Amino acid sequence: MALRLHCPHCGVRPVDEWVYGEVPDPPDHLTGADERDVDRGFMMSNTEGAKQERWFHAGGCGRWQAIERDTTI
Amino acid sequence: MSVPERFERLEATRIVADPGALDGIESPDDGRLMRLAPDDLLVLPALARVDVADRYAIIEPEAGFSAAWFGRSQLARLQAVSAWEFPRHRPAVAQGHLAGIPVKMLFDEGGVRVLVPAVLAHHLEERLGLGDRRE
Repeated sequence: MALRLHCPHCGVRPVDEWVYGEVPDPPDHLTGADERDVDRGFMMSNTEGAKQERWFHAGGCGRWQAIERDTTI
Repeated sequence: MSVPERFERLEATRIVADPGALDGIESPDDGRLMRLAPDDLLVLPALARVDVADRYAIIEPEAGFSAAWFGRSQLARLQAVSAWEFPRHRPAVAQGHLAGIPVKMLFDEGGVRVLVPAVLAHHLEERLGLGDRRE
């Protein structure tokens, strides 16, 4: 079954209508500015569990939404 | 007619403004308001003049959509090519993919008016099997 996300304006919609926007979250042990930039740009956190994400509802209202998604469900 | 031949270019007015200011706009006598987002309103048909209580409001003619009317008997046909459930209350505004194409839908008791970005209208016509496509 396809992932479905809730839009506060449009309702529950299939993931096809959305564009994913990861919130970069460099780990604390990276302290250098360059290291953190590289991590922010290229390293996906691949979190297991609840995760804060941004999704753009391109097929609906055309607004960014902050969504908490559990990657294990 | 409940099945349109094709989508026709729509003239409307688009208002982007403070949500409270948009709440105060009344529907024109022979028109409709479509609230696309809290700060985004589409007024059908196009207005010659509108007063918005927001000095930073953006008010522009909107000619980027094409529209077609489908009678109530066609709703099941449209629902069959949608991955989300149509609203049951009337009137209602809904947005989402129809046959994989982003649309905005204005539901009334008699049917639904479907708005599609004009550049995608011919794709939706093909996917819904509208008109005679044999040439």
